[in-house]
Amino acid sequence: MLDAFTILTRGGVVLWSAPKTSNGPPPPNTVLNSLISSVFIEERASTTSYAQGNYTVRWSVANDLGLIFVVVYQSLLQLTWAEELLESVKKVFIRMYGEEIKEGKGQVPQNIDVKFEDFFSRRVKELEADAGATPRSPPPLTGSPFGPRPTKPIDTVSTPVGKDAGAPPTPGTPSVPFMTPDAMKARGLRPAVKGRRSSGRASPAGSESDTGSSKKGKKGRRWGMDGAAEEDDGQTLDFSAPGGEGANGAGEGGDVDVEGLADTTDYGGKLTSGEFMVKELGEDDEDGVSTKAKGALGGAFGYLQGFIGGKTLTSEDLAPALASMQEHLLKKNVAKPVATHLVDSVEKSLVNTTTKSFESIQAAVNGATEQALKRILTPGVGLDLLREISRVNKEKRPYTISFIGVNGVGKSTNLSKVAFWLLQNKLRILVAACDTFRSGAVEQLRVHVKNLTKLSERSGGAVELFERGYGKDAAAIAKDAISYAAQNNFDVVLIDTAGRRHNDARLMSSLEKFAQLARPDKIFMVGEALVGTDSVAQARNFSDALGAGRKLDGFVISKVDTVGDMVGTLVSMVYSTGVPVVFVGVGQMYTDLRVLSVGWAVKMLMDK
Amino acid sequence: MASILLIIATIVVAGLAAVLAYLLSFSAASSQPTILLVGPCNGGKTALFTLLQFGKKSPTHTSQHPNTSTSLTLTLADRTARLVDLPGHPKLAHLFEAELALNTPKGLVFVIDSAALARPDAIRAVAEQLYALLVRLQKVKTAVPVLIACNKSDLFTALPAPRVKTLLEAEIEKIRKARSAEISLAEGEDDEDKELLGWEGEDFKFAMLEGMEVDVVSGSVDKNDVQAWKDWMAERICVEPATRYTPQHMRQHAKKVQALPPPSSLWILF
Repeated sequence: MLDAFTILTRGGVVLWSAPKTSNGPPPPNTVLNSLISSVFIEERASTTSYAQGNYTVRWSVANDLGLIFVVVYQSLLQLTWAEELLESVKKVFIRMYGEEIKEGKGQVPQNIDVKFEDFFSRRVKELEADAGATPRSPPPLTGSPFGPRPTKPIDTVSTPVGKDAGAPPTPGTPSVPFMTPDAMKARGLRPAVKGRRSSGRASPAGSESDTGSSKKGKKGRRWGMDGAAEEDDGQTLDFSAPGGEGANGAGEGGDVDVEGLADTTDYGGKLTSGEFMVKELGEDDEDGVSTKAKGALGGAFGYLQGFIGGKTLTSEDLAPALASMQEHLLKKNVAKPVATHLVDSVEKSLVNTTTKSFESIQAAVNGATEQALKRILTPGVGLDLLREISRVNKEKRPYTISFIGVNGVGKSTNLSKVAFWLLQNKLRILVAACDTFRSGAVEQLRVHVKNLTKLSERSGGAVELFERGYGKDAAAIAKDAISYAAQNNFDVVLIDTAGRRHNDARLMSSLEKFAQLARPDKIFMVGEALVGTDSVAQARNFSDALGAGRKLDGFVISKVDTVGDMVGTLVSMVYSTGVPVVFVGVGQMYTDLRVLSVGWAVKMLMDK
Repeated sequence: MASILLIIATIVVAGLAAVLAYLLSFSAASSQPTILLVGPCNGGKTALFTLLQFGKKSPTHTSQHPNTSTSLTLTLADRTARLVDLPGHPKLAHLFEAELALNTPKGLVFVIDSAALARPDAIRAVAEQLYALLVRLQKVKTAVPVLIACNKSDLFTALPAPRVKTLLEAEIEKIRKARSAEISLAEGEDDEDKELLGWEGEDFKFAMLEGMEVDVVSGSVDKNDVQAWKDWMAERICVEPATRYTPQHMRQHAKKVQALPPPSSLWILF
């Protein structure tokens, strides 16, 4: 029932892929490519399963060898033994080919034995048989614990049943089975109240059981203190099913292993009965420190190796270094959930790897964190604003950019800075005053436009203000501004919106209307570098508030000159939404606008 | 007393030997000529790497880490080279910088999917990446030759190499125009003059790049049709580069001749 099982290296080379066992076409290459892109490189989804189209993808990583084991199956199947399969195949593969890969150092083994394929197909069959023996299919939707539905529709009764408890059914009405309130309760029906129609279909309780059964299929979600969902695949919460995954499944699988694997003594005799799973864990621990002797001498040697390098890292080794890295990030004003998450992903990527020569554990952690920060801050898609503007202008319409954000972050100021920059590039700009709430917002923009006109007298651009006063609907003004700009050949329209708290649902909902009506080409959120833990919630709420088809196109981080080297807000906002930083504001003059340099930002963050 | 001194002396000597060995290994890696495989995602870099490395193409997916091989042997080359396949994902661009910091490559292969270039935004993305790459290479002291390998030429929609060349040159010209007009905003870096490729006033051509040769050659990793690329790489790996009379050489020769004082002025001195 698998669509694909692949073992690949971190460099992208496929070591082995299983022959297909399900019907239908094989999953396209893009499924795995997008998994690698989204999960490993961009770290957008950090659970252990990933959905793409009709397929669900699960994986397991072996850091010491740089291998990824991936299984792909149809989402409808809800395979429960995918994790188990991954773990057991991973252990066997590492046992069989681990040495070869380690010695190869980049050369990959070319001849995967047919024995491994046999083992694989056998294991799949075992697990399928296990899963088949204990059915976990959801109960049928039509069944309800209260019995089958009455065949005659009840809602054609014109009078509530409760009222006419004593009256016999009139011959004109269709013959409805007469039920006492007790009988109704037994069937799960509510007795009708005067003025309310009887409840019609047989089982509101029945329908509850339907949703209950379908809820069994959903995974539980845990909510953290900051309102963000903690990443959890919900495995630990699902205690309902008998043949569940994880520890329970291991015990069951062990019983079946006896017959299936009794023949294969040439696997070193380790694949004996139920001990298969448990023994592996013990051996894994040994493997982690197998080349280094345990005990006092080993301890001292291990300590020295912390400085000399060549040490295989375990979680305990990494813990103090990671704790100090997390503290360091918090000192740099990175939000706590983001710092925790980042440190966790660094740990996951470093466990079971070996440090290079003359590299201490702290240095390894620092290096990995720096790489992770560079990866986070580098935009996935480049944004060349001027090229996009010229491309859109060729289509004879103006390019629209809107600025949103909470109160007081510097939307109007940064809008003017962007306008100044665009004026230097000789564009005609229309500034739309869609902040119709705050007193003085329109006048503020008027002053800016006057200054910009004066400053750009020589450079050749033109800037004009479009305003309709206070109290009107911002989305309508934006739409009018865009059509005015199209008629009068403006190149760019910059839209200033009202500041709003991100936890005010009413104000955030008006953003969705704005996005749909005005359809700006780019929506930039302005966030200040001074904000602390609130940055994550702000970024997420604003990104979600733009409706289904739209998300933020970029961040403008303002007031960066006030925080010195504590630029952690950059990381928090980018990491929580995946939206890149487009501009950075470094002052209150029109020239204080910069593009983010990733090297500079990472240097600021990593310096002590 | 003496034994303790002896122990300390042994430890010091051992430590020095280890340090020496480490430094030597470091320099050994950098003395090998390096060829880099770069380019946008899904171009076929890792597939080409496996083909060159093992003689057989393996199925591949998106790379997260670079693939390195220290034993690339080509028939026409006189020494083994180091081949590095860098991931194409934009978020991993810092790996390219790290590689350049290690040592200057002898040749750079920019692998692109020539079958996916029909759409205008695809060409634009490739051209932007190529532009950034060429600008970055201009800052390197020794000129790095670039091969634009048009992969997947066996597919139906693949464009031939000369067409790819003209399309890329046209796109880079557009980028150049936009960049020269814009005032750039860069934070935290030294103020540099805007890096422009080629000469002003004329449409961009790859031949304009001084010292840096750019060749555009088609091939197909799937059909094992990469001999032209292998020959290009072998030429660059060779210790003695074959002298080739390019317009660049002629121009430099002409400049030298012009720098000599004209004979008439000598008469005046007398």
